[in-house]
Amino acid sequence: MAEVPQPPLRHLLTLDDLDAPALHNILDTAAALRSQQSFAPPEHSRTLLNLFFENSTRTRFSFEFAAARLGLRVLNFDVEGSSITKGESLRDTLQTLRAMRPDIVVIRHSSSGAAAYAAEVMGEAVAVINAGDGFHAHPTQALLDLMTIRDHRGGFDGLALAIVGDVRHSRVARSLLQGLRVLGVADLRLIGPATLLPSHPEALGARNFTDLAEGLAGVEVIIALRLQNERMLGASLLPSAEEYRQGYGLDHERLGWAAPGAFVLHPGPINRGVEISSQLADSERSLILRQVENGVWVRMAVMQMLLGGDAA
Amino acid sequence: MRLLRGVRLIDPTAGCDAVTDVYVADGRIAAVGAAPAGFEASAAAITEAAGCVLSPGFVELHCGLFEHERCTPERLAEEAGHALRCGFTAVALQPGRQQPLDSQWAVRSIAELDLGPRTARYLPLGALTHDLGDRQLAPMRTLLDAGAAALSLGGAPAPQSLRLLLHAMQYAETCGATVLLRCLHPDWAGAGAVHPGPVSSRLGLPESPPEAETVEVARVLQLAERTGVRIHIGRISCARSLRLIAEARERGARVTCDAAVYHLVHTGAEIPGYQAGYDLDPPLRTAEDAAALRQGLIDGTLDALCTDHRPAARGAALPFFSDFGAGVAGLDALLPYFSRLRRDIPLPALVRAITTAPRAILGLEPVEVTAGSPVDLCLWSLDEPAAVSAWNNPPPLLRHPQNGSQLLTLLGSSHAEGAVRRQDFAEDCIN
Repeated sequence: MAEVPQPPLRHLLTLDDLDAPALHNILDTAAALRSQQSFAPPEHSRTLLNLFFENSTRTRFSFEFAAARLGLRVLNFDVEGSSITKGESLRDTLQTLRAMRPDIVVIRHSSSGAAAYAAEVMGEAVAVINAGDGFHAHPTQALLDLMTIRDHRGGFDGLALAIVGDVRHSRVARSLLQGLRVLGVADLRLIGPATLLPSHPEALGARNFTDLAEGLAGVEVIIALRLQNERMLGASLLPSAEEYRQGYGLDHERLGWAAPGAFVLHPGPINRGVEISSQLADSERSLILRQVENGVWVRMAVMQMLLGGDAA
Repeated sequence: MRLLRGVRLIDPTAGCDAVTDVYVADGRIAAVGAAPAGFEASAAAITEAAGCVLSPGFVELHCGLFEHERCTPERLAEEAGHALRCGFTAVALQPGRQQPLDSQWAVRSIAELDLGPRTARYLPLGALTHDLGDRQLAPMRTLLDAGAAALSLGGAPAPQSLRLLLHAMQYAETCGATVLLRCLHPDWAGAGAVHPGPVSSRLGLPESPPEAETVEVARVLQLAERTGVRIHIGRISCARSLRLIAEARERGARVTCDAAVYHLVHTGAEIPGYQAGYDLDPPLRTAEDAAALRQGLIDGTLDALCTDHRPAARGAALPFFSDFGAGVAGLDALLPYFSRLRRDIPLPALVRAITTAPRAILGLEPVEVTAGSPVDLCLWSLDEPAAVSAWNNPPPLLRHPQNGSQLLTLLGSSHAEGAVRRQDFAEDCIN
């Protein structure tokens, strides 16, 4: 990717190539779309292809919704029923799809680097949006988190933020940390047992905490990550979900350890009573539904920018 | 008769590194230095070889073709031809998941394969255990009788059953065989992982700690010391492994080791992104590890080098990191890496590590470049000015042979097993 991050944006693979003005530009565009609330009539001349190699309901639906509001025609590639499962290589599949000339391909894949690979194969002809690749990046999720935080506190100055949970295997955390660093947030904390924390947090501009109370002290925004039970227990990273809740589950009482007025975000879907209590998730201190709403605006903004601004 | 005039002859067996003239005729060295009796310059073909190195043919210890695919005889012949074009006159063919070489028939079919002209020799390595698994010994004696040069588990980890590993070593020792093992705990084997560091945290790649290797090295060495078997530990990556091996050797263990050339040059911190070329198994480690391996080659603790030649299966997609299994089309990479390594390591030590050392490990007769010896040679040039600029062309690690930037130019190689190959040497190598 070019080092100059300003539009025209060709793909959105990570936030690594975006500087602060570029990030704010996307958030501003999303906010403008939200305030506008009315869109050009659908013309169905542009096509968005959802290419999800991993299960996803919420993210895929959010992309579909955003595309629908912009009047894009949405096609979902059914991986299960495709020749991928019969042994056709990913490269062959991508080349075949490229030949059909979609305007945007949204890809989610379990391998880190898959989105960049797709962009390489697709070339300049097709815009690729990374909807999550392995443990690497999930840039639109990070953008919607940034938008939600900016909405709520007006900016990022002096922000102290903590991410609680399986940061080591989280593409959400990796992308969000990148965005926050670019926006000048210096106090970034990662909280969890050592098995779930990155071995070198300084590479992410953050510090590790294994003690929840210590990590939350003075923090204004808390991101609770979803505990992926199957993976955690199978890979012997955690003894049990219950033990995780005891050490790192968030509730109203523990929110009191953070700065006054601190609020909680969660990328969803939540495990109620594990990483976050139901009462907290449903309270005014939780911005989870705002995140979901902003997800659509942010994805619209990204699509519009990738299409050259003339889709809406 | 052909005369290589003014060539730099590096012959580790004779301890020779000198500029001299070498005379070749009928697949044998006719003379080194002074012209043989009856030599007539007018009747000889003369190659001005100043600036070129003549060494024994290279020997690859780890050719993992069978890890990714079942190979037809045609495919094997093609790879053998490619090997010779890269300077390798002999290639140890490791058993692999696709062809475990655990039966008499399987080994014999390789040993007796007619590869045709202009090809390297294959040295099949028999399986140590049935299907390279963790349950049953392979018929080692039968495999050795069928032509296996040594016993190995290829890319598979050493058995986790301590009893099976002990018995395998005892039985191999009974058969008088050398056992080639790699030491990487199966929890981390082939997982597309990298050394724990800023890169793994930044890119979100799984981590393979050095202990995945060093703990296994310690385990294997203890059993080797108990059984007295001759073992060779292949493809090490850690300074600590080298120290453990050196200590065991001091106690009398019959152990040798090698590392792939990449691990002497690159570190895990250099990995720029998800380029599949950096997905090595074991992963690239730290600068200290790479320096220790380079030092080991100089002081002899590290016996041999390899290229860990494991090209991706034909028809496989161009992979991105971690999804298709580690592997490198390595034979082409040797000379480019030598160009880089010779800044730190004397050329004769590099030559020894890819010629006489692997030959000794595999139990082959040593090659000598003296009058009367059969030809088993590699001629290459040290093309320095081209080297510097070419090195800067990414990617430094290659999955596909054609991508290579070759710094030391291979001029030719051959070994003498009949008229066709002798003819080759004249045609390919010297002209």
